Amino acid sequence: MSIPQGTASPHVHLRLRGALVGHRRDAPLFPPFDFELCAGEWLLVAGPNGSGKSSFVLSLMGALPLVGGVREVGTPGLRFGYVPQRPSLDPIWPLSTLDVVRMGGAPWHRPFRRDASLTHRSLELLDEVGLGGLADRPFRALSGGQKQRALIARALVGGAEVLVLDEPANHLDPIGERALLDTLAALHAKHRPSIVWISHRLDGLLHRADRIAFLDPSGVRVGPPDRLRTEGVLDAFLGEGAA
Amino acid sequence: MREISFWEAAFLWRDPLIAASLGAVLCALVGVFVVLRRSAFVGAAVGQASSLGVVLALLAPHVLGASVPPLFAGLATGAISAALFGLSGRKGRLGVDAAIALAYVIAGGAALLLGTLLPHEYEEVHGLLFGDAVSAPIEEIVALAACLVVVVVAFAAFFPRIVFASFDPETAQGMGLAVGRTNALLYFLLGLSIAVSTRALGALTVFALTVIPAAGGLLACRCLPGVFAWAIGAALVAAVGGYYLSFVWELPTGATIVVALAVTLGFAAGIGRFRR
Repeated sequence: MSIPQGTASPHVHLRLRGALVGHRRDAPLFPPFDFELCAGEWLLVAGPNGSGKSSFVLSLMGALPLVGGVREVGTPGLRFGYVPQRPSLDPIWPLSTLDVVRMGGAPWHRPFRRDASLTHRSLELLDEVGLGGLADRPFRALSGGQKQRALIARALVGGAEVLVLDEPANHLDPIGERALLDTLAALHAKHRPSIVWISHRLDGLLHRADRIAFLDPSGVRVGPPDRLRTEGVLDAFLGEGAA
Repeated sequence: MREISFWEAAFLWRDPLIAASLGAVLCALVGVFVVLRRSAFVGAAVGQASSLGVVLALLAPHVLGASVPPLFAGLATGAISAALFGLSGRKGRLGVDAAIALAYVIAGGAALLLGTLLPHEYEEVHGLLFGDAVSAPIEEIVALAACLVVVVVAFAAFFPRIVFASFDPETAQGMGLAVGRTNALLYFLLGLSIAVSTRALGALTVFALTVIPAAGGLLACRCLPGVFAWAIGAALVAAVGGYYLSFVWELPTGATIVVALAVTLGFAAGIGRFRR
């Protein structure tokens, strides 16, 4: 999706005003900034290693409280699905792929209630990420790419409006990365979540993103890829690889 | 004189056997999470924390001039220490394993040191901490049954959250699950169960019951419900079978239950190898 210019504003899921991100108010990672996350957009969060991309996104999600400024939620009960950078999932757990996907409903599980549709939704999502025949296979027996797709299904099964992926292509070869992007594009077309993709590189991703939030110690700059390129914000980055 | 048979001696073993069975199921249930979270030594550390609580309660009349029920103090310190293990994994700079080891050595050392101030209460301290599964007062059975109800109700209410927070805490936190509180709840249940069971069955038996049945379940079964079912079944069989054998062969009860548990582990390993 592209954010239309000059037309009715898209729905804003989340708004940060005068935000200070970090662990200490006297040492924020960036100067105060304003930011909006729109419904259905594909946002690329980029910046050099150690620039605070994960902290920025954790603050968006509310998992890392702001040390200054205001976080306003525009969508009541906004749900985040999260795919971590390096999931440390212990193979001792005797869980099937379906069990792991069903886990995504846990944050919204109501005590003593059984969500009868959770298994159905999990199986549907497994189909959509291309793991339809592997629901009963032990999760620990899946390949790295298959695990990644199962975790994306888990992130969406609870009905997340925002899907956050932390460096999801780090351990994939170019073919695996392209397959992952295609899967995400299909999921995006069907479920319309906002996608927040954290990456320390831009090659192969610029044409997918509606906007980029580029982070470095000088500040948080947000805009469409073309504008940030025109303004030279991405020059140093793009010099390292192809866009 | 004719020897009394096992069945004729039912008045002797009925209550201890009920206590052993309740304790076995309780330890097996919480033990699955103990093993899956690789916190096997939590049982030993909780035992030491409980001992410190009992010693402090017995010292209270001498130091504060007020009495504190020792059994309650032991249960409270055991349960609270276990809850702190849960929080230490997320908020502390030490991992859970280091927190468990620290609790074991510090609480153990403090209990030993302070215990020297209570030479006349030694038997009471020992009895409160390391019951031997041979006798079981009714209040012990009630405490075990109440604790089992609490654990079953808490698992029924929060099982999906506990599993998610245990299996993948980073993602669970990112998706809005209160991982710290969920861990604290789980470790509180662990501490409560271990402290209550230790009083009834003895420290070694409880340590074995929290680890061996769950380990057997993981070897023999391929799904989480299967692991729970195996753990509960093996713990019950070992508790009842071990109790019976210790009675008829006049063996130490706790040690016999531990050996029976080891036999179930052997079966589990055999099944696991066969199914591979």
